[in-house]
Amino acid sequence: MARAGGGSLRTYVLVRLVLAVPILFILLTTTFLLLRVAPGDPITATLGDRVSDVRAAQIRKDLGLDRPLWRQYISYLGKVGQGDFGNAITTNRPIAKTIGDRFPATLELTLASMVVAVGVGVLLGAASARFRDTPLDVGGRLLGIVLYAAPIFWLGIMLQLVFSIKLHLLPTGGRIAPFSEPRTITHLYVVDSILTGDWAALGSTLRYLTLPAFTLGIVIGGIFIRLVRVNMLQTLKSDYVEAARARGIPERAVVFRHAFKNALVPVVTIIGLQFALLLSGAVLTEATFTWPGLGLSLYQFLQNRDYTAVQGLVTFYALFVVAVSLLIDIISAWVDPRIRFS
Amino acid sequence: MTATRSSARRVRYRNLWRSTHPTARRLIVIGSVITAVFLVAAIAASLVAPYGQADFKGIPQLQPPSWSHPFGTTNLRYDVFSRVIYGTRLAFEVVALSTAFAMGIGVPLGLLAGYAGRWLDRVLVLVMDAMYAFPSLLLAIVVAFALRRYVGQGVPAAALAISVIYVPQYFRVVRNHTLAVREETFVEAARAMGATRSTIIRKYVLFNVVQSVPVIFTVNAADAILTLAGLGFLGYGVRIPAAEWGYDISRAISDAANGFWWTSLFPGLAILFLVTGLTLVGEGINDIINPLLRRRGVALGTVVPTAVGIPSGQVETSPVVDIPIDATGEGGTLDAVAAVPVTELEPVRPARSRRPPEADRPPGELPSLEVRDIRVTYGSARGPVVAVDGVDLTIWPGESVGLVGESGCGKSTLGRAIVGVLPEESSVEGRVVVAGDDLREMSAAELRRARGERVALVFQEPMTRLDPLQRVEDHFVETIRAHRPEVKKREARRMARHALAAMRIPPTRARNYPHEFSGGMRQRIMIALGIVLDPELVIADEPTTSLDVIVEAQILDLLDDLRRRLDMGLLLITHNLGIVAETCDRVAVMYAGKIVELAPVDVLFASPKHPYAQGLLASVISLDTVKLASIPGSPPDLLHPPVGCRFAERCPFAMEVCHRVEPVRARLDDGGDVACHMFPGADPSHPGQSWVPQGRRRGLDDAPVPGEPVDQ
Repeated sequence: MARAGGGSLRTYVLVRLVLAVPILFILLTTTFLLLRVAPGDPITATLGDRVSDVRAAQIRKDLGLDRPLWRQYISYLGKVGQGDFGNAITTNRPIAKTIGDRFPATLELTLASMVVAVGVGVLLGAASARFRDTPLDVGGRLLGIVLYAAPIFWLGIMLQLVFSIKLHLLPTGGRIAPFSEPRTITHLYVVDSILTGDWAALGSTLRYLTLPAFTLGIVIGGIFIRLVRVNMLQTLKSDYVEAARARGIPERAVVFRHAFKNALVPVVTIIGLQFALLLSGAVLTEATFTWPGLGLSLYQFLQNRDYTAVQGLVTFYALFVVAVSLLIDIISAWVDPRIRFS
Repeated sequence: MTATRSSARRVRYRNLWRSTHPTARRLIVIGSVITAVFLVAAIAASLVAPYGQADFKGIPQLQPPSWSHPFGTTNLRYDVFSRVIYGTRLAFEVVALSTAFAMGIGVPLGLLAGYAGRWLDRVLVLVMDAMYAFPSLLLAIVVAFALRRYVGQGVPAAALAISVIYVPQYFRVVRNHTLAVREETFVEAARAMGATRSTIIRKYVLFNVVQSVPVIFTVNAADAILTLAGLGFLGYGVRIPAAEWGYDISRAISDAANGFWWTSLFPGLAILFLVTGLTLVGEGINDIINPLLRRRGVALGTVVPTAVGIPSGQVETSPVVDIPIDATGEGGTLDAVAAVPVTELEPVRPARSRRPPEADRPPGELPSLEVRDIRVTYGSARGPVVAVDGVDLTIWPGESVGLVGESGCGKSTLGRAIVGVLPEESSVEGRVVVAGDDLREMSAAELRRARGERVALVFQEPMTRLDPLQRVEDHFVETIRAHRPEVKKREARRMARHALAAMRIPPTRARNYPHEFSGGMRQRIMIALGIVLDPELVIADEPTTSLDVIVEAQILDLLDDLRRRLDMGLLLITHNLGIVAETCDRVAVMYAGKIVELAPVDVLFASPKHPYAQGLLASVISLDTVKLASIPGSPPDLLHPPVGCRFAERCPFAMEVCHRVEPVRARLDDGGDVACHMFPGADPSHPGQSWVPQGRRRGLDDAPVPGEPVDQ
């Protein structure tokens, strides 16, 4: 009987890993096809009149664009397998290097935003559900909808207007004050400055991180308010909650131990789904706050019409999304023993 | 025919609308108004907007809001108000076109996948899942980036880029409905009758899909506007100088840095309001359609605080000490244990003995339960419904009373009212006394403590009654310590194992999760949870309805055995008379919210008095059954209960008096109570009088003149 938790979790992880392969394959193929099959010449589209025909032909040959499509595809998959995302046409820098430089900033921003989002969403969502149809609930629901309806970049600009330009409290852009970077260990400035005890760097990092993380976080948090509320409404009227009440369990324990805990299980999965949204939002947030992450790079490459760079970055995003969803599934299987069996 | 159907649908929608919570209705109305305002502005853009979207002649640069430029002007001498209005038009165009594209791609693919099935379905589902998992804005950017090279940056290109995000949703809905329809028997039947595939698809699949489209559409429309703005902000929206909100905001960043707030504020507010409006409409529709979110809760009724203390039970005496912990053997092979009949596990079963009627109870003994004149009213959309109307019931310690009746007669409501677990829109009157203490006079906190400690309720469906995230053992620890905080966890676990053993659940399984048990085992766990605190009263509400016959017999035997040994009162709610005859001491027959007959089991089964009880018994199949009887008609509408006897409409012996005077329950010589005018005491104003109906009647030996009152 598959009753021992550890063994079945391992099986689940293996099965889940195998299942991730086709998804990854489809994403890579889609990225490749969308960007390569569309008619028109990527080199002239990118560089336009800035290069001579001879030079353009040379670049084309260097990138292997003169070869048949299927060979380009094989070589694309092979390179991705080795962690090679190609070079940017405009800067001639390896995209993998750009990713290495910029990704930690994006990770730090998204993690901080997720903390804000979950904090806001779980608190307000659970309170809305618990006090259903009271003014608190209506307010919570409306806030959830309005926050989600706010374009991230616009919200960022409005916050800049108030906190940076009018009140001079926080910087409008960047990741840390110049020359105050902490000694790098994880490349996450918050973690690094704490590890090295560099409190000046920590202060500076937090000042720069606050507005972007809050902007991105409360927009995603709007979704969490709604999701947690709906989940919690369902668990609050579930049979086991009613049974717990009938056993005389105090209401506080009924709400927290039974309704709230069960409402959070799907939320773990939803965090995974929202992670894709968080990455989209991060691109806009980084462009608004000139946060030196992957999203800002993508924004800049898009502005420059740098087609190989866009392809490389999108490929990386695809890999990252698959990895995160894998991780989230494993975490939910670990939290909720029922998932492993189905 | 179509007219009646559509009017029927209208009525249904109107009822749905009325039954929706006022807040939800208000939100929908607000959302619709916002959306409508924007829609009008979009359609009449050239009338509403004072300037064209790219007019700059004679407009001053970067002016703050004023009468001539209500939203101010931009760096490029555009009038912000006019840009916002034309941006609305553009947004609606993109939404409409992208929805059309998404449906145009998603619906055929969904039909194909659902109908073709096999590998094509698998591949398409995988592709759609992959697309759905990818960050939507990035996907739109990639498409816009690829399209840019040959279709440019017009409205169709933007719409196509955005539609890619929504294709998977339409695909999924259509595919799932198609798959479901393929497996439905009525489609098999339709096909057998010669309907072609296209007819089936048109009739059934598209009908179902159309129902889910409003929600998908409003949600997608809101999302599409945000995505369009994001694309525009990144420079991949619609080609300038078209007024597009996201692009306008991206141009306004440098303005904001210099304190010119109006160029970015107003386009953003437009997005905020329109998306909010659309989301409110979508959420509202979803609230109405999704019945899962309809409310259900617990009301404590009106509570009057009193100083009545609850004696807490003794911790040292475990309720079921006489059962050794490892009575069921080692190794947790419960399947083996469950296969053994309970009687074999329990060789020293006490002989079945009917408890004496209340007259023979020892002096000073308090009944486990004394319900006096209890009345439960539900608030419904059409008015208050009295589901339980003036019920009296007494259960003595160790006694088992069966409560029978048709569904909807108020059996479960009575059971829940006793424990105080009822939906919020209900009120309870009357007295519920458990071993001398009136639960209805307790404060909320006292009542909470009485639940579980003094009264246990075992529900009908065991599969969903245990918290899926909690180990079985932790349910016990939580329950025990909620009532007796002084009990240590170790001791609570020991008590849990005892209670589980009493219900034949091996103690080795205590640390398993609920999903690892079968339905029958879960119900035994629920009963163990009910008895672990040695309550004075257990209410079992159809505890075996969802279980198979063998499991049912085991559970009823265990329950029967426990109430004798623990000397607790048992109220067994059921519609199965066989169960009652097997395990109960007395039976209460309930009809339309009232107990019409209450008698010892032997008496009721040998000679039922009330015509309804007679009808119930006659409808039971036994070995002697020659003709299966059923009671014609249906129970009265409790919204407008009839005057007089509630069964009169269906009663074969109904007389004039039955429609006039409501009969009350009175004691007969054989120890049973009945509320019927054919028996003495039913009319409170004429005690001792009974009526003889036309024709045959049962239960009385003498046969006086029909239609005449008889004084006895």
